[in-house]
Amino acid sequence: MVDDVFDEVGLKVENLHASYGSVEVLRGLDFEVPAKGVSVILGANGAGKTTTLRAICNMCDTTGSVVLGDEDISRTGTAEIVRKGMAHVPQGRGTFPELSTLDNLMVGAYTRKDNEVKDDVDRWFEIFPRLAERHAQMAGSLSGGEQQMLAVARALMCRPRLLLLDEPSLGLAPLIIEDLFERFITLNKETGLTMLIVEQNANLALDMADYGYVIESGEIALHGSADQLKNDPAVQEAYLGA
Amino acid sequence: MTSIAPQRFSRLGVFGVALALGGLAIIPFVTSTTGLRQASQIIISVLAVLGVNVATGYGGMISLGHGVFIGVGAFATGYYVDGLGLPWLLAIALGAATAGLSGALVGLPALRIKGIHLALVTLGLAIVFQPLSKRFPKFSGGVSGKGIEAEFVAPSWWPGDTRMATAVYRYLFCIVIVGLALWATWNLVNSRFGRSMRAIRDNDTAAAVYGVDLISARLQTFAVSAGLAGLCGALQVVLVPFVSQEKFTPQQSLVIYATAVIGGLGTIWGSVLGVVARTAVGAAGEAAAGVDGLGPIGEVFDLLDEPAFVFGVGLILLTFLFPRGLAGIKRPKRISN
Repeated sequence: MVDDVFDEVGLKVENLHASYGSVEVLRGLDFEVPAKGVSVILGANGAGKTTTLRAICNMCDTTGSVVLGDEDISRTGTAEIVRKGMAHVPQGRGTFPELSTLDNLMVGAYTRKDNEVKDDVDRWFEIFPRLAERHAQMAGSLSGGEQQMLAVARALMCRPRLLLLDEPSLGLAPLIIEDLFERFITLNKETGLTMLIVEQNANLALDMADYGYVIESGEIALHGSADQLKNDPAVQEAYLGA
Repeated sequence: MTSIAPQRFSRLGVFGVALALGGLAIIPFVTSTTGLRQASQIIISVLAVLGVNVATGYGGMISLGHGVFIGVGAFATGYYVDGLGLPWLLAIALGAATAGLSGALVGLPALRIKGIHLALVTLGLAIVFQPLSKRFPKFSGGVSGKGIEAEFVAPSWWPGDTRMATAVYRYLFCIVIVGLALWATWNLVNSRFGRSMRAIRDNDTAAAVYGVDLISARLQTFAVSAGLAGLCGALQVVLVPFVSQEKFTPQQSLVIYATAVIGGLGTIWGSVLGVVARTAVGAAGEAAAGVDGLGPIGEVFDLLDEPAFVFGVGLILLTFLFPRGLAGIKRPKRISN
């Protein structure tokens, strides 16, 4: 149904530094997001998870290299990076509260000139039927879970090759989170869309991910396959509450 | 599959439009040329309110200075028709365009500042406009204003050239222009550009992330908004062939903004409803001024002799009763995320 939509592309980050003013938040990160896979970044508050996503999209002062596919995008502007196929669902979702659900999706397709936009709207409405039911409703009146689905669907409207998700579980009830993550897995399995997810909810994140990184104080402290991390005593103690 | 039909008028909307058109059709039969001119002036004031609505309601940029663009539109139209001897229709179009251009210039600060600070900049502009325009008598007639020689008369096919026939023609001309402007604006805000405009209003960072060019979108929004106010100014010259800086007070700008808020920002019909409500409140003030003989409590009710008092209280009440504006009554409440 949706298999032909996305290209397969990975991301490679080397020696990434980022700072806000004189405060250095990232101190030389190296990591890889394999094409078609789901990678997850774990870490405590203030470890630099959100900044990592912002740095990849060039939304803060950075040095180091960020390579999308085989193209270096570390000096590319944010809007241009979006055009190259990287979509970012920010923390707190960032939907347009006084635009209808449908209009939110249409803004996601703002840069597209092809005539398949309507088809894509139908496609994501099929995958997220709740959004279809509420297509004329203002986004601000949707529930938190629905807004998160809308934010993801809106990001998918620009036909990304790589989807960055910043704490999609934030502020949602546990049942809703599970439902949402199952949808992410389905999306990844059905389309092969590469995903990089930042999460505090380590249990769920490691269940769905192929690969994981743990950030501490702006550095990669641990990395490995999701199963390896789940069984790592340090991770269990710090993040899984075992 | 869910049908995603484009927005349509509701039954209530169609009924409202029919009612309004019926009312407008009756007016020429029941009033004098003066009454007809006043009705026309009220009708064209919808354009200025619509202009504020585009900038503030759809674009998220507060403007407390739209009286300035009415002024630019009026002065420019007067100059084009008299000074340059252009035909009226062209002069009106160019007058509105000139105001739109000035709006784009004024919109430049809006690229950097937002909210209350932009409000102050536009208010400052409204305050500066009167003394400034006095210094350009060629366009404004200086302190005392100037008459426009050319007269806007009905074409030869129009039945009759009496004063009443001319007034009716001007009245209908204004209605057609305002109707076209409402229709065009409705289409604009529901277009791709309108969507990007509203997206910027709601969350400019997110809009930019999806490729919306904030700078050009904001400037275009301000230009359209000022152009609508300028069209109002141009039609003022059609109705009364006289321009003067005296009319373009900061208070007028504030009342236009208040009218847009009362009617409901972010809805096209709100601009019309706002003007209706403002006119009704104003008329109530005028009517109350004649009331007398209230006995001992008459002292307190003396205040009703002041139209400004009644108008101000009316504004306060409307704001409390309809915080989202008259046209915003049915909109769902926003749930914070």
